[in-house]
Amino acid sequence: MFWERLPLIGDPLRATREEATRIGIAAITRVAELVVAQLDLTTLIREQLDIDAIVTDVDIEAIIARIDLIGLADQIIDGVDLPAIIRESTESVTAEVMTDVRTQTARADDMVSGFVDRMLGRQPGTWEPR
Amino acid sequence: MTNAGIVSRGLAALVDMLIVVIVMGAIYLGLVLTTLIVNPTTFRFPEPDLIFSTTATLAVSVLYLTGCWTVSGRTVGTVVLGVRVVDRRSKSLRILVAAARAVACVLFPVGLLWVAVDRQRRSVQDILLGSRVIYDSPTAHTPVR
Repeated sequence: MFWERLPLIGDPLRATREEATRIGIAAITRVAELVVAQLDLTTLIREQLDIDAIVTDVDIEAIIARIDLIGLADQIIDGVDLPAIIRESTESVTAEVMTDVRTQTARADDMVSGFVDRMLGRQPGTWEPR
Repeated sequence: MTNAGIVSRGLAALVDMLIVVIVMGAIYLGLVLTTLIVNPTTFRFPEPDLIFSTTATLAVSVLYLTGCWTVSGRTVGTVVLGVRVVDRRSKSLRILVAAARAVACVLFPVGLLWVAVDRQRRSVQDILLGSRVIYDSPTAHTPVR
């Protein structure tokens, strides 16, 4: 502005203009924030925008091509303690199988004992050792 | 505590036999590698005679069973089947008893069949040496009455 180059009053005029500009921007920003706060933007966008049309036009393959999928997978794997999960699941499965095998064989022991007792005409059951 | 029956003990014995076979295979492999290292030019696969192989197998079996029964009363087979070899007071066998039982089991495996007939589920070896094979798994076992 030419008047800001005037002697004596130029500097105060420039300072006043800058201060007025700053106050104006702050006031407009505040007003905009208040207006936005009153609006339900999500609903507004849902009602006014055809999101499906936008998504249809998006080149997802291009987006995926820009992502470092291997790096992302590494990050996820680093965050998950896979060995611990595998170890725990293996242990629980093994324990279940072992328990099942032992229970079944103990039952088979009883069946054989019962069969032999019947064959020999004995009272069924085992004697507890003294 | 009820003694284990013929099925548990028979399967445990089969697993232990498998362990002995694996150990014998490892020993043979060691022998092959040693022969190859010592004399690579005239290397031939060792062909131990039948008597040597049988003696070595019996010795490995006796050592394996004696060691396991003395230390914990459990061999690999008995761990899998959830049974344990103990003495009359439910303690692990003493080394001499364990060794005698191992020899008896290796030389006279048919003695195990008496478990099916005996009312206390004892094998011939158990009767002679006062040992027992009890259920060792945490799941409670209720015998048939």
